[in-house]
Amino acid sequence: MQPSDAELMRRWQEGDADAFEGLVRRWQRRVAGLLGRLAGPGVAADLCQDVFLRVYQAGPRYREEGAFTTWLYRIVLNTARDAGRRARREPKRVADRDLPGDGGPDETVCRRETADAVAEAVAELPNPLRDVLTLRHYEGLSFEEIARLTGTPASTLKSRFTAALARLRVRLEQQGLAPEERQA
Amino acid sequence: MNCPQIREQLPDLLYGELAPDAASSVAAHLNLCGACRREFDALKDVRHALDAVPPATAQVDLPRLYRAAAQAQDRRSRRWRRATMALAALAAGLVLVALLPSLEIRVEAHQFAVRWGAPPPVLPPAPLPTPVPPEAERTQFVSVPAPDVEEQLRLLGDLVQRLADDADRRDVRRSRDLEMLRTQLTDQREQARQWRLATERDVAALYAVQFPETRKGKQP
Repeated sequence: MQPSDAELMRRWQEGDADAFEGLVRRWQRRVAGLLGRLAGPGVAADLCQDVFLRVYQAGPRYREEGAFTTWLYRIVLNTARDAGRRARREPKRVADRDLPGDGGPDETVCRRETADAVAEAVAELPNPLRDVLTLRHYEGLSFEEIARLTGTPASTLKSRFTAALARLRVRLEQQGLAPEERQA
Repeated sequence: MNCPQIREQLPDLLYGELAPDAASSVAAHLNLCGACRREFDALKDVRHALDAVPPATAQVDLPRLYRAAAQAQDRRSRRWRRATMALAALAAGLVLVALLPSLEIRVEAHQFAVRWGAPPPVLPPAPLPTPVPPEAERTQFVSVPAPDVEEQLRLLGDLVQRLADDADRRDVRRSRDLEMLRTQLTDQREQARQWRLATERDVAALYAVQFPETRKGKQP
């Protein structure tokens, strides 16, 4: 049975360096994916490094009062916001990534274009909408969990989520992605 | 429920968060309402499109992370040291500024004085206690009217006191002048002594020329 995140944090605070490395191995993929959606895939690797540096620096002050996930996600959100302020939002492209290509070359190109268009549409959302969309859709967090994470009421988050879906729908239609194309 | 109320619940239906009863009601409405059904289909398309974006991947470089943490710690330590030194310098400056107006440094002929605080008040000299004479003499003093002498003695005492105070405040130049005058006086005395000796020699020589006999022991 694998130790819980809180157990790993406690062991790390007691001086077990392997416990910190276990946390990194456990969370780095998920953190990188979240950062790629919040700040853009081009900066995800650097920001992921930055997130775990912050975790390392803040670790001694961690108290097992809330869920480790909430604490970690808060660091991820702050890191993404800081990066957004620094970069002032370059268009987030999904180019040069390995997409699953179980079909032929045409299908791979089509999937890549769709992914690019969707990622760009998500990147163009205002920060509050993009945060709730990412945490709800990709991370599967409930509105109550996101409310604890961001300090925003769940009802407001729900409205923002609905608004984000509506904007994405309009944006994807403007980009010429008809429903039948999106089914590809 | 009307269409706006139904559309508010479509995201919940899309993500399976509606209670079974509410989900049945919304589904029943969608079967009857083409506009709401198209809205729901569009949301499903958006959700499907979102799933098409693959997640970014990254591998944390732990040695680089540890190095960055050590460097950040060094930077924090340096900032803390600088801030401490700046605060200490500021505190010292404030103390100096507070003390400077009441600090007095004086270099005099034979002393170097540093004084902090307001100078001591200059008090008038305390009157000397007048000795009480015996009864008989007191009667005699009382009978002798000498107010002018008393007044003059008091003025003289004040004058001596002020001269003493003034002498204390004389500077090096005044002392040097006095020393120079003293030297000149000594020189004048020596010169006068030389002149006197020369005159005595001249008188002796003239006397010897005018009265040669007396050199043999006969004085005029």
